[in-house]
Amino acid sequence: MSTSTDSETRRKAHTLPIYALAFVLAALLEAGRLSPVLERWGSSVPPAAHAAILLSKTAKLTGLEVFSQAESRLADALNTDRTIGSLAAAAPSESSPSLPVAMPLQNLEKPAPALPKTAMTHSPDPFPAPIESVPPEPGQDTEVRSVPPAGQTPPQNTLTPPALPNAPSKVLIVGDSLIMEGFGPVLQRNLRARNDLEVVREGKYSTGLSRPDQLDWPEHLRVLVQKHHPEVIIVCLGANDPQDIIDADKKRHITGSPSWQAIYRARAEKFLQIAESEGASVIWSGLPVMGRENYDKRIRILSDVQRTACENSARCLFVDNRRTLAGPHGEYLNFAVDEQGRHVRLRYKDKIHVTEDGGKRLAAVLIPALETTLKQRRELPSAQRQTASQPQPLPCSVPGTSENRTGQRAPVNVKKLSLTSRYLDREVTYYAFLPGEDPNRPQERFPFVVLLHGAGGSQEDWKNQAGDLLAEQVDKQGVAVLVPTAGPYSWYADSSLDIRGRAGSFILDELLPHAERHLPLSPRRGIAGLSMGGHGAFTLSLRHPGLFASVSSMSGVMDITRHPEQWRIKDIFGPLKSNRAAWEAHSAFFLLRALNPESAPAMLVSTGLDDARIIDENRAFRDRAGRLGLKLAYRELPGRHDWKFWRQELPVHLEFHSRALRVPESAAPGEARPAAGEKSAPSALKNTPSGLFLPGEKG
Amino acid sequence: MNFVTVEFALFLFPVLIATRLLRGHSYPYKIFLLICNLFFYACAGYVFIPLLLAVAVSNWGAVQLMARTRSEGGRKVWLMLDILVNLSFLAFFKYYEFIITSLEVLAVNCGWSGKLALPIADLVFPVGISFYTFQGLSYAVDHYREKSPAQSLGRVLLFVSFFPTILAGPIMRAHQFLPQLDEKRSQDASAVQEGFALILSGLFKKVVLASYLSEHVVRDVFLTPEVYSSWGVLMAVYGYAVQIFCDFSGYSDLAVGVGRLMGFRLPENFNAPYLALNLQDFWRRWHITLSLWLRDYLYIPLGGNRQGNRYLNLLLTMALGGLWHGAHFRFLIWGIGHGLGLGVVHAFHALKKKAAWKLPAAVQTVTVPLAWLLTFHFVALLWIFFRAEDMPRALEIIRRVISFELPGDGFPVLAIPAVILGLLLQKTGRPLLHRFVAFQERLPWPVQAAVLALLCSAILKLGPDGVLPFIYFQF
Repeated sequence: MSTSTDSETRRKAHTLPIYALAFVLAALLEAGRLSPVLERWGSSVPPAAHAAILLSKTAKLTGLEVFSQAESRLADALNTDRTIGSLAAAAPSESSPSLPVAMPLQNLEKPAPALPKTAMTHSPDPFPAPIESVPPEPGQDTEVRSVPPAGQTPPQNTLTPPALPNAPSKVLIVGDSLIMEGFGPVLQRNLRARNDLEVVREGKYSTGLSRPDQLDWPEHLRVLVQKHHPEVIIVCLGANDPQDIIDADKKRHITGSPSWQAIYRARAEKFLQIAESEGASVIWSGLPVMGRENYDKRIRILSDVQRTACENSARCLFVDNRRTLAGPHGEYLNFAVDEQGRHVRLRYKDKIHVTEDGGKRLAAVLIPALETTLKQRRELPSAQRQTASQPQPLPCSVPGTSENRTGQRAPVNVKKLSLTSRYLDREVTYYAFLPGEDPNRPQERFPFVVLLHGAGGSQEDWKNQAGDLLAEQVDKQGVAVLVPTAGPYSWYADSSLDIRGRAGSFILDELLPHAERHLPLSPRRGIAGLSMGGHGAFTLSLRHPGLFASVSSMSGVMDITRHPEQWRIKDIFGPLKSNRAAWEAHSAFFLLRALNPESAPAMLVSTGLDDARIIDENRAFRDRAGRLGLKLAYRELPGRHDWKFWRQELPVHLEFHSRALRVPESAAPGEARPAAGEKSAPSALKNTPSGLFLPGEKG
Repeated sequence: MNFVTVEFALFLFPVLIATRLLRGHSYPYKIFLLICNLFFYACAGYVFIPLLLAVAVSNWGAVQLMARTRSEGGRKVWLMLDILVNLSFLAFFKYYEFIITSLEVLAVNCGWSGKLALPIADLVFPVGISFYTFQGLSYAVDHYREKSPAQSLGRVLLFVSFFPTILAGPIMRAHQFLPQLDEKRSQDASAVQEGFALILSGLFKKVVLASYLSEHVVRDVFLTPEVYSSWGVLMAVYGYAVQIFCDFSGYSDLAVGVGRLMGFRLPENFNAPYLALNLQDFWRRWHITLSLWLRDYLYIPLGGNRQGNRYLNLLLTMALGGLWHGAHFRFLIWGIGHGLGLGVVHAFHALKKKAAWKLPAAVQTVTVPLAWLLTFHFVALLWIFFRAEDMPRALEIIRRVISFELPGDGFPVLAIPAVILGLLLQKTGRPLLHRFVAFQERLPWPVQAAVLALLCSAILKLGPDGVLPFIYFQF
């Protein structure tokens, strides 16, 4: 460039004034985009908010706004979405197995040999494949499972849908940058390898539900739905959402605050409503754990809100990915180590975005959910789709009634077992009360009840205070009873604050599989408990419909949100004020609302009349159940919050469970137990289709 | 702090005010500039300030030691030490993960799977490290070659950390930059106008062309090539060639433009690279400061054209140049591809010289466009490896392009004008810029400002809402 040599023409430069004036003018022309930015800055630098107002006012006054709008219109006029150069597939015979394409896809298709065992825990397979789908129970210290040797292709039937004569199902994948890169493309490539699906992916960077000023997702989705008419919509949104919401009245709602959560939930529900407006099913892929603590905390709140929104919607499945990319203790991981000891990067350096290897794992969790959704849609006429989540009748191996067994059987067998829990990061022991073996029925398997203790207690409580009674009742009712603990104040939930306090996951993913593998149990389960245990029984069963066929509570805490300062609940979920979504997601009272009457377990609640601290919430629970048309057996009788009352109620409760568990449902008379169940009882989650969609508790 | 942000626009205010007030006063100006540099880099990642200081100190120290050493051998030892230190910074932050994972793959192949417990650390990448270590090294090597005098630590730090160039070049030499620090004359109007024009040009290339091509054509094809038809993939290949030019030269325009506003003349990084008629020509026009750096500090020490095997030297230089961009094999393939291509060009020229044949004019009218086509397509072909997510997909893209009729999605119509515009800019960009400067200079300054604001907002209106990060920030 010719520059300064021609000194005669050199004039004094007005760099600064030109720059300043141009800056101001450009700012006014761009006021539409700049003032929202300034408004956001306003939260930390107050003058910025004033500048925002000043800017938009000046733009209006000077008429530059009109000019700017004209510019925008001109730019829009230049824009067009028309595409050219598309080529339709010729004869299907030519296009489908074009080998060089198919080969890399094949690699993607199986859940990748690089997958560490722990990652699979959260994606139990809906179609048990003989080799690969043995769920690797975390916390197992016993058997070594046969792992397919490297190079051997696991059976492909996990992903092969039932043969379909109809047109391919259309799947629409929508979301933010995770859908644009990393997860979305992997998922799309993975699904494209199949002939029964037509997959469209429509993502937008830096968007979400917090900022309709950038993109109004619900409205955008409406356009997409009308354009593509999908059967299934896969959503992954939210990574950009942990930011304050500024509502229509310019009021700021701080991220995670109750009002923020309410707005966010309403938006998510609107989004789902639009998604489902043309009859599509929705699979909401939850976000994985994030690397930066503060951000992750917000993501967790947001995920709970998303989950609640999904649970309130008729046709949405929420796939919990919190652990999919996490370490064994739910911690954030940048790298996973594969079977050969190689490091595989899962996350980019921003500790948010996922690499394609990470995306593969997310896809491996999502595809079974999609598979089930598609299966349900194909099997059920549209009118019945809403009830699709009804639990499948579970195979029960104990026909007959309790009366005819008592005489012959051996005495009750009390066993003490222990396992190493990864979720609690310690050795845990529990007791099993097993009915004695009936010589006429060798290898009999028993339905069982998980009996939970109250706050401050341990697994010894029930044994010490009511062991005799338990043994007697077990013998009488022919059901086994497990008496575990997950810690004195665990609240049977995954703590949001302590990675070594994931009691919910412990019960579901470690205790149940352990017990069902080592004990003669059939996968017909009930759950009961007193006080905190009543809370635990109801929240675990309501959060995982289909997993437990019966649930009961004695003197239970049915709504933890009424006890913000009591019994160390806030040590688990954080202060109520800032974590309302998590509290509500673990309150039996609130969970009731999302319960589908058709899939509800048999429910029993007992309360002592003199138990002032919890009687109101038990009554509220009863009333809400009544309003929702749910069947609930409710007992209110003289008594306090003590062992006298619980000893008195125990036989009633066990009889209730025994009846619910041992009477085979009419729909399932001839159902055979899976062959594999004879030798190694499959894990709790595997036989219960609806348990699949909540793979692991929330962290 | 990205150049294309409101934050940066605001940051420029104090910088320009200080330029106006302090430029005549050498000492306070330098102090202020140093603070600006450190602040700017701290915005990109304050944890790496010590790294930046270390690069400056090691190069300054090496030069100080060399200046005090008489013997040639001693000077060489200090230089080698300095190079070792700087390259180990670079290697540690850039290649650590690559080296570890490669070793692991090797271990598995040797049957030691799982036995190799290598520590892996998740290192955050210090943005710009490739650029400022190279810049620092050039100072030390130049001193060793007795081309540049020893400087004070403050000046070396200013040189290494100069904020317009710290993120992604242009890679300067000490003798280009440091004398300008001491100039006291006031700025000249046309240089400033050029600065503004360059900023607009950079914005247009980056915000309008590169963003559009990336978002609507390139990214998705490279992520999921199977979904696209042969035409769609072909357009993406052209699109990426144009995108990376617009992205990087757009960035360079912004850097040079900002430098101009502050009264500095920074070296040019691009000179219409896609007009090149052969690969050698291309490398004189593309990322010029890196090419020159590699020539001066790698190719020539290797022996250059004279010593050893010239072709091997070329190949080595280009392969290392490829790896400089990052740690994966596709960059290596890209570098080796260019090395081989350059070898062919060199051989052809040598042959032509020896045979001394001359083509008739009539034939030349055919060979010129042919040479252009060949060069552009060779470059575009290698860009596929540069950009691809992995090898299977790179090959899939090539397969789709050459088989012409594979079914799939197409590309948006607007990609055509975007690509054409990007290519036309090679030819018309420079003259247009000069004409714009000449036009502006005739206007009174408030009108100049209005014109700039108008163009700026028009450019922003044509762009997407968020601006994507510059490609070269990752290198």
